[in-house]
Amino acid sequence: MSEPLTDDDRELEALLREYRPLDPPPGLRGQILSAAVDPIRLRDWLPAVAAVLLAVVFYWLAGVERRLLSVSMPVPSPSDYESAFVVEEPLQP
Amino acid sequence: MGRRPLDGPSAEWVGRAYDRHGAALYRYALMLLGDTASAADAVQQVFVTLVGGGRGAARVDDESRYLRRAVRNECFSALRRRRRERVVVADSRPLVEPIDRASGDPGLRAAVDEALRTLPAEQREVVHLKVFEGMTFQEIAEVSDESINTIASRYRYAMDKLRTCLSR
Repeated sequence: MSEPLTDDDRELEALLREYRPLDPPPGLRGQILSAAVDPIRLRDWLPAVAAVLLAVVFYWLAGVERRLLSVSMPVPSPSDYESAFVVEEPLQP
Repeated sequence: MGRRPLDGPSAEWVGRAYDRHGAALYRYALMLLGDTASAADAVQQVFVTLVGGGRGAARVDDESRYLRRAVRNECFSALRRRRRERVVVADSRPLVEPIDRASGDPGLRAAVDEALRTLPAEQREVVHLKVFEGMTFQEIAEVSDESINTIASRYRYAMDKLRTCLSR
């Protein structure tokens, strides 16, 4: 398709071409880099951070449970060992 | 332009893409939106979205075209938001500056700026791509998903309006 330009249009275009849209502000590049790149770094490290946090939580829970068991479990007396021996002895026909 | 994955571009890629296309994208956004802060936001949003996984495009053949299209979509979304929320944006900074700053007539610059601001975004877009970016109607039609006739009509209306404004 032919571009419908008249002499007036060309004159006006020539006038407009003496101007140009403003350049971006100098800080925009840095702003974009920090905004665009930081989230992906966080996202990349998120699974690893979550795994470490889970490991720490479970390790701590296991420690608490161990301490609770050692406090609540009574120390077996020698008679307990004897009764255990009796129970485990096979029955005589 | 080489094909490259968009899921997770590096800092270097974002920096390089900005260096290659950032200024042109900003000028395009500025001409569509008519204010400097919104233009910067739109360009930033495009890069942030791109890094965050893109919008369905796994690979890009033509980086420049893809980014221009993304900025266009972002700008028209912003314009629709403005219309919906009836936001009026006032920016004291001009849209254009004289190429030869020494010989630029400040009165004429203000008149050109004012005339450009009277155009609807769609017409200003065509003027920008045709006059400042040197694109043909065919190329503009491809960028904006419109027919050549529509683009030519927009250009005609825009030029008539600009001429009227500047002759006052």
